[in-house]
Amino acid sequence: MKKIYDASHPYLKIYFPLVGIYLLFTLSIGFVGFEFLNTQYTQELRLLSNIAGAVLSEHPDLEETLLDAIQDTEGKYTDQGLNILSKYGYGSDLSMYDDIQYRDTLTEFLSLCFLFIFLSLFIITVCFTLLDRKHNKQEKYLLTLLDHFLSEDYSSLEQRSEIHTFFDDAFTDALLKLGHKLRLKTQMLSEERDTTKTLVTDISHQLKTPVSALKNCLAMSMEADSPIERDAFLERCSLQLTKLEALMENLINISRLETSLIILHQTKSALSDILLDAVNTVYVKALQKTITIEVLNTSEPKNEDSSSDLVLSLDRKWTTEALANILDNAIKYSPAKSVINVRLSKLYSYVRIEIEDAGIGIPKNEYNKIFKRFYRGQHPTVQQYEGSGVGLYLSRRIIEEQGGSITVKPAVRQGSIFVVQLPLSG
Amino acid sequence: MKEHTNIILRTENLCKYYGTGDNLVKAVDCIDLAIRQGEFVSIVGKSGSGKSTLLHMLGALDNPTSGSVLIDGEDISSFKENRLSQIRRRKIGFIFQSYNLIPSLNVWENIVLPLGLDNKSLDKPFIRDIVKTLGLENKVKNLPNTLSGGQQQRCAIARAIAAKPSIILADEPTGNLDTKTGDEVMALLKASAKKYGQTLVVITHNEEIAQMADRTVMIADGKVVG
Repeated sequence: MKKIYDASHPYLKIYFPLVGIYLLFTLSIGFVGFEFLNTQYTQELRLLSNIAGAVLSEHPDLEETLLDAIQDTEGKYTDQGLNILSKYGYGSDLSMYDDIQYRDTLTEFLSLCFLFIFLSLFIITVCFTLLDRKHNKQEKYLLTLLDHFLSEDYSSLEQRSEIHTFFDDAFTDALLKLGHKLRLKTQMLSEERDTTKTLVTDISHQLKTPVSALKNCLAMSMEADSPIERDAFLERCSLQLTKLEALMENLINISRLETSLIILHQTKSALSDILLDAVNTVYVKALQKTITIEVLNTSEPKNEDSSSDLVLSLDRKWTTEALANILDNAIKYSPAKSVINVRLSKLYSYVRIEIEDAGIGIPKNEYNKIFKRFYRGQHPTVQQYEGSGVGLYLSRRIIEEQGGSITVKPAVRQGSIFVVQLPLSG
Repeated sequence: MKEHTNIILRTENLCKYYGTGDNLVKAVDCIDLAIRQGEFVSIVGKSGSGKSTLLHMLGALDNPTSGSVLIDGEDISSFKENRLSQIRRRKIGFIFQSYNLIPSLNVWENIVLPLGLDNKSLDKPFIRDIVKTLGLENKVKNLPNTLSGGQQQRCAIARAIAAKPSIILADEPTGNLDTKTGDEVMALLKASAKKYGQTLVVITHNEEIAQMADRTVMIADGKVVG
């Protein structure tokens, strides 16, 4: 199925004309040689006829001897003939060049040969000069193009046809690929800068509200009429402070993650340990609402022996944080005395962790948004709870950074199922 | 966002109509899309919303009635069939719902088949890496019919990635798989596309799968609705 002849291949581009010229040259020489032999043959035939005619017209009786001489292959009359002829200057020491007729034809033949050699040399030189010129142009263009890339000017990427005039398909595509990759890297760099900028704006925005609330509370408490009123305002101050503290902690985590200050150290860790840590983190909150957390391993029986204690390549601390955030949400939006089911199953390349709550559920159109930074659900219950819209975002970042994925889907009866997939081999 | 700078795939006023007069069906109706390099976009819509037709036109598998598709800034409608198949082989990887593996070739042969068609030399370490990433190391000698659906789709993903295309187009890649396997295949697809820096366009009617994308485009009656 392979293509044998591809006219665009650079070597073939030179090879075929050269072979053509060579063939033409050989054929021409052959043709001229044939013509030369043919002329000689005609001339010799005429000479022979002349001699035969001359002799036979004088001595018709010699016809048989002449016929014998013509058909003779052994040359029994040769020496005799040479002897006679040498008297007239036709000796065996005479070379081809001394014969005027031969000399003319030979000169013609040789000069034609030289002409052909000269012509082919000329054509080959022209070919190579043109190729060299093209090569120089290509080199020059390539250098300019690379220069552009280096100075982060990628406008040439939009002009494939221009690049294509200098290079063949494969080379053009490879060049474009290089350019695109570079452009992507540049883009990513500048996006990272932008992310940091928006992060700073977002954080200052997030801090504004609680800080001004705190300020107001404090001002009110100072102007309070009675100690009871003052205490009430101070109480609120402390509440705002706690909120601010929690927010700060989350913001610090985010900013570390965003600015790549958090480097996830993926080490071999037992998933059961991580899950246990995560559950322990939210244990008190669950207890307060008397919510039960059940962890179930639903791996297929054949995998049971290995999945009883799955060891994955994960950052223990941050993965715990990610799972704890999901559990924390589940507890927050679930009714008291409900059950949160955590199902674990080992798949082919991933471990699937399903965290199902019996909470308020998430509308379909918010599926994508809940994992965004600072997004908070539109549901009134969500609005009424404390939260900064950071937890799930952080979870997603941590999980995706480690090659996993997180999605949400509705539970069969009510509530949501968060599906976390973590890669089995890091 | 600097949208204009690294658009790898763009459609301008893209339309595909079938039939005439009263029977006129607007499968794709004036769609403008711009997909950035390295982005993972999911195109979501009910069956019959025109999403598959759109994907086929994005992949130069079908000609638009009007409008244009630009890959890397080049309008592919002006290209001859020869160049189009070159683009399909070098720039685009396809993944279909029904895997479309060649039943008489084993997994490895299926993966490297498009490379052979393009007369490319095999980057064996690269392909071994893909095979490993997709968990197919022990299956390379197997014929497709001895594999589960999930494994067959992994093989199709490996085949799509092997030619190092810049764009991967997937049409309902999890349509024939159960939820768990589907989620797993999607996570793998996303991870591999990210690992090899490829742009991923996935068509699905499953909104849960669409969540994994960076961006979701909703399509209804051949039009973008959100």
